[in-house]
Amino acid sequence: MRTVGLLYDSTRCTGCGACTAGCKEANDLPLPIEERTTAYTWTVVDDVAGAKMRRLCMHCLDPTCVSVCPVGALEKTPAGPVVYDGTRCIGCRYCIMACPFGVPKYQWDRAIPVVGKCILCAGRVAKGLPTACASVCPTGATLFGERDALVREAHARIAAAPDVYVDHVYGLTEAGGTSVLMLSGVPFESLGMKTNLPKQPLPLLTWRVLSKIPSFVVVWGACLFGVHWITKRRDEVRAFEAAEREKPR
Amino acid sequence: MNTIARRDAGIVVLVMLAMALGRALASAADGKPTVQLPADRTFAGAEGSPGPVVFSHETHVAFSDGRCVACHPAPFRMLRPTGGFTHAEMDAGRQCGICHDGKTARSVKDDCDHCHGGGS
Repeated sequence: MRTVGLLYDSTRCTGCGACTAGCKEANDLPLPIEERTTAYTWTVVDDVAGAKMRRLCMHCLDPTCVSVCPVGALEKTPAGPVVYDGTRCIGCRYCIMACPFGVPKYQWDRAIPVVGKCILCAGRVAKGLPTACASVCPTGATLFGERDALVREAHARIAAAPDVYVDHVYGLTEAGGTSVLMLSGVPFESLGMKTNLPKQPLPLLTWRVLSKIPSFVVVWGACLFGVHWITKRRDEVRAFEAAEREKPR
Repeated sequence: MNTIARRDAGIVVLVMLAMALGRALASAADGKPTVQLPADRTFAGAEGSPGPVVFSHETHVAFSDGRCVACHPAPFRMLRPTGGFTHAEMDAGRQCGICHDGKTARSVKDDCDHCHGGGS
């Protein structure tokens, strides 16, 4: 199955907000359009000293939010989008704590809140359509396509204009790689993007421990049962011997 | 289509291509991104309408400071474009009437030809 994604080229972005508007419409999100991403505004464009940077879910190839969700509300689909089922969400906010990009947002205004975040227009993608943000972008700053093709396109752009771009495709290796890739003309850290993320998927960190838990439970359980059996046997023997001693000879 | 009409159509297409190329080159020269606005949209109008209305993004974006969110997704959708405009709605300050109220922009109640004359 083809894995899709987005290539966001900051140098081609004017910050017009078409992506935000298209996202609102495609996902039936309520107005108003907020300045920062919220549970109801899934993408915005920040202006950092004249440079633009989109904020949206990066759709990790191996997402931490999915690995930590205790009720399986989040899911990485084979096509690429990380989607979530609001009816399963119990509002524990573990995904908010776990996301290395700080993406999931909470419905603080609801009595029974759940999280909200970009789902890479999974419904549109399933129909073979591009994401809404890519469909309406008037400058081509947000490009939709197969991730492999987008990676090639990103490298080609950098090679064609090395004086325009920072020599780095953000999302290629960050947190094990993401379905959303980014290009910029200024260092990513100056745009508020984390550049100290490990290159390995973060769920591996917990998997190393969690994968050993079933074996640990079985072995430790067997040990405890053995200790219990020995202790009980000793008590039985002691009681038997005491009874033997008290028997009239 | 007769020869003259075909020639005129050809000239129009060439002029449009030249304008697009000029914009792209100018944009590339000043290092700014090339903005490809949606094509003009023609509203045929209901029965009794004085004429079709052609909506141009080109003439409107300047007033929104290049911010698409000024008009999208409300009152005008992008992916499934809004239709069914009526003067009753506009006169009540909705749809086009939000800005075309006689204060922010020319009122929808004045000068029919301004909108129905083929331009916007």
